[in-house]
Amino acid sequence: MTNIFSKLNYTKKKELYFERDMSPDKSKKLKKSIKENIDGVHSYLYDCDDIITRDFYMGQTPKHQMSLMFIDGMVDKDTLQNDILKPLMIFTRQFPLEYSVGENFFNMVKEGLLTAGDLKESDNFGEVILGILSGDTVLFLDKVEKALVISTRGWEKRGVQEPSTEAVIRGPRDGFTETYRTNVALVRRRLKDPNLKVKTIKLGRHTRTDVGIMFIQGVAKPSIVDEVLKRLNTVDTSSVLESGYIEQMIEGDWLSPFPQLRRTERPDVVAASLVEGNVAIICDNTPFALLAPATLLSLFQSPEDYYERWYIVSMIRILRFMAAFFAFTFPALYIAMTTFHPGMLPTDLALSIAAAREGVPFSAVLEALIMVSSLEVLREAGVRLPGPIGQTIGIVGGLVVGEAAVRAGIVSPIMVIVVAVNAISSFAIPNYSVAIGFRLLTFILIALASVAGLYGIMLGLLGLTIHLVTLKSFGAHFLSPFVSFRWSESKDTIIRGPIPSMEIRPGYTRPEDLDRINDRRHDTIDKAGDESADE
Amino acid sequence: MNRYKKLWICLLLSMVAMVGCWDMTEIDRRLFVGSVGIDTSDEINKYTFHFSLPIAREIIGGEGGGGGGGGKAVATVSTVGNSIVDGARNLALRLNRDLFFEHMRVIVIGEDVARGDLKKVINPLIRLTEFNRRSRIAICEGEARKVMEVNPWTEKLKAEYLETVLASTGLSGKFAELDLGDFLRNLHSQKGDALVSKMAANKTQVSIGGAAVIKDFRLVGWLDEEETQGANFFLGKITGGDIVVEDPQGNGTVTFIILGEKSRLSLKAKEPIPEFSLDVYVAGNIASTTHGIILSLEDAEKLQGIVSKEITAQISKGVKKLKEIYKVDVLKLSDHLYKHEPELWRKYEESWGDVYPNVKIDIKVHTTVKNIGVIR
Repeated sequence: MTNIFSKLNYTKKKELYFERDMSPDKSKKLKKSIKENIDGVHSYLYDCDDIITRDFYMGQTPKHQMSLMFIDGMVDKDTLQNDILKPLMIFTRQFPLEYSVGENFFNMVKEGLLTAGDLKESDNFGEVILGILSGDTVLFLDKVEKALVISTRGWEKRGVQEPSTEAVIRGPRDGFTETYRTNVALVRRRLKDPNLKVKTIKLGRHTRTDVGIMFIQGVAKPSIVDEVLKRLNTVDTSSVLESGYIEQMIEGDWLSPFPQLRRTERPDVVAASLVEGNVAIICDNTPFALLAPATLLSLFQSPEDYYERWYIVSMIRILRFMAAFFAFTFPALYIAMTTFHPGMLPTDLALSIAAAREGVPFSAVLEALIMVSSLEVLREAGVRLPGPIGQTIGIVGGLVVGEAAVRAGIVSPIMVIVVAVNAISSFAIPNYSVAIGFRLLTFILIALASVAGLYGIMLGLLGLTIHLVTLKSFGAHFLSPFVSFRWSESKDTIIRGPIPSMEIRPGYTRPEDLDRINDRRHDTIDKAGDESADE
Repeated sequence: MNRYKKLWICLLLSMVAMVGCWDMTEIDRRLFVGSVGIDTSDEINKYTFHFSLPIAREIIGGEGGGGGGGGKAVATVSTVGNSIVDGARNLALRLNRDLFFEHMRVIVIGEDVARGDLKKVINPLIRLTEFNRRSRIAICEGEARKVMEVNPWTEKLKAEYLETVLASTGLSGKFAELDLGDFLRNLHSQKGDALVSKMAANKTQVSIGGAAVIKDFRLVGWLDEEETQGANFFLGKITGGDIVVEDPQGNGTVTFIILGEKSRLSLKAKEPIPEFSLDVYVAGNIASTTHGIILSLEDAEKLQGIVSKEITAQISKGVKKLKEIYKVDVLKLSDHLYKHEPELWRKYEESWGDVYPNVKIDIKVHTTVKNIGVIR
């Protein structure tokens, strides 16, 4: 053991080879000799056994020396074989090479031989090493102070699958994957608009993750785009492994229980938001894109809201908001009603609660805390366990434990109902992060209700309202359009109006181009009628 | 950050003001009072209170026979005290749980108590928010204890039984429907005059019908069922019930079901003393007749006249009794003057007690038969 690893150098670290903004250091130029270049790369990437160096020559004599460097597993083997090695080694074997080694030969290789689609020249070690680490293949030629970075990125990856966190009945089934380019392409495919811009930066000192922002120029408000870029540029972190890292670093108020960026796994949601003037942040290695600015209402939306007819959606939305209210108030209301204000309950209900509670050893508050916490534990256990076992836990936890606890007289059956309604209500919120935020509020409200009854609940709701009203997400009010209300925007709030009636884009993004729908249906129908009459 | 600090400080400070959880009692540590009966007691200035207390576990019962598992669903406990609150406090010496009045549905006052000064009984009911303004009030012939000892077979909960009996205005107009809020309002605006439902009881059921006439916080007499219905017609409070009249052709009766009623009081003359006219509009259906199957339109019109006449008679009877025998202005004539003719009212304010019995009221009833019945 010691013998093998003693050769490794753990302590000495080559100086940081990249700039602060993760762009490669271009000052270290390539050398003329191929050997020096390869050694140069190895001097940085030593002890990296997954790097493969392939030396070969072109033509029939070993005059034209070349070397390929790439990382095993990160390159597409087909491209490597068919578009680089085959042209260079087999096609050129039939005829003698007229160019001598040097600049002209380099250009000939670049322009006339390589059939790979995407390649670029580089004259410094920074770009070369970043290319290798990103999955590109680098081609060194002898006697040239340049190298070719050929895009051969291709690794084992998950295909486009149905998003598991945002299921719809009607709507597209494709979801984002872990590959940045695929994700951008999924959005681009929906918006064939030259104004759709994609800007990519790299974040994370170790991860150098591709992070792209997408927006439609002329629709998104420039100040929001600038703000997103500015905040992203301030991120200085060692790693970005998921878009959650970025979300938590660029959101305005990290004490809030509400996320200030909307996360989605669905390209259609991103496309719809871009058209509404939002900015999307797409991050490599994660299927979750971020949308800014987020509003409370947008966090309550499901993409299906726009695919179904408006009556149905309006009803579902109203139910969703009621559910959200119960998701954080129900146990608190139960405690307040039963321990402070039993006069507010109908007599029969009060009596049946009293009868159910008879013999229960704990106070209603403690009972609620026990039940809500155990439900959280069950939920967490169900999420972490592998699928089939997770379901079993749900059944065991929900039915067996609940039923047994009631039979044993530890909790009252009414409390089981209360907690179940509370939990189910929170699952009716489409966005998981928001739902969890609401569940957190449940505990706070239980505490307030146990101290001061309905008065405490009202205080809590008041505090929550104050917080929500002051909360902003990238310059937009979190509660818009209820803050600085505009009548025209009320069509897409708690109800969703018919699509032809939603003529302008939502104002919280204050898009430059407000027109969403120019409803010319009636004009064209009339005209068609006129024309046919003329004929 | 600063603003959040302020918010939290506010929240925390407001909690300091509320330390003690003043109202906090687990729901199963409370005893709900369903109804209360108030009787006189042997001691001076003290009353006997009969509280009916539903026993939650017996009422909900659950498995095996729905509470038939032995125990009584409602316990009745009696105590003596100066006021209902005092009575409850005395009871606390015997019971281990808090009495809780917010679910009290019915207050039954014994005849003897009502003949004395009702003010003393009502005082705590007005003063404390704990008493539900929607509890219904009835005055019992004889002792309230009889009502509180009734064992109804339709409902487990005695209070619910009493309350729904007292709320069945849709079925009959022959009693004075009144809740605590109305009662208090009437007592204020009419200087202690009111009509309260009369209740009688036997072992298994109570019966309501007629009304107790309260004058200046004292029971002065009773109205019978027809007189009560007349007074209700006068006040426009009828929402249901029926009128049975002689069949004009056959030798039986016709039942007229009242669907709705409106009454309008107006001042007809100011001199020498005020004279009123009352228009009563009644709409209803004909439920049964004893002659022929087919009822022609002319018959229906004739019936309208007969029903009107009957209603007029009932109203006159009730008005006469209230006006001339009891001299109690629960018909809100003074109220009408006060609201619509303030100057005239000022003139009569002092002497209204003497003027009122002589006031003339011209009663006109307009009956509409909406439906003669489906006959096929």
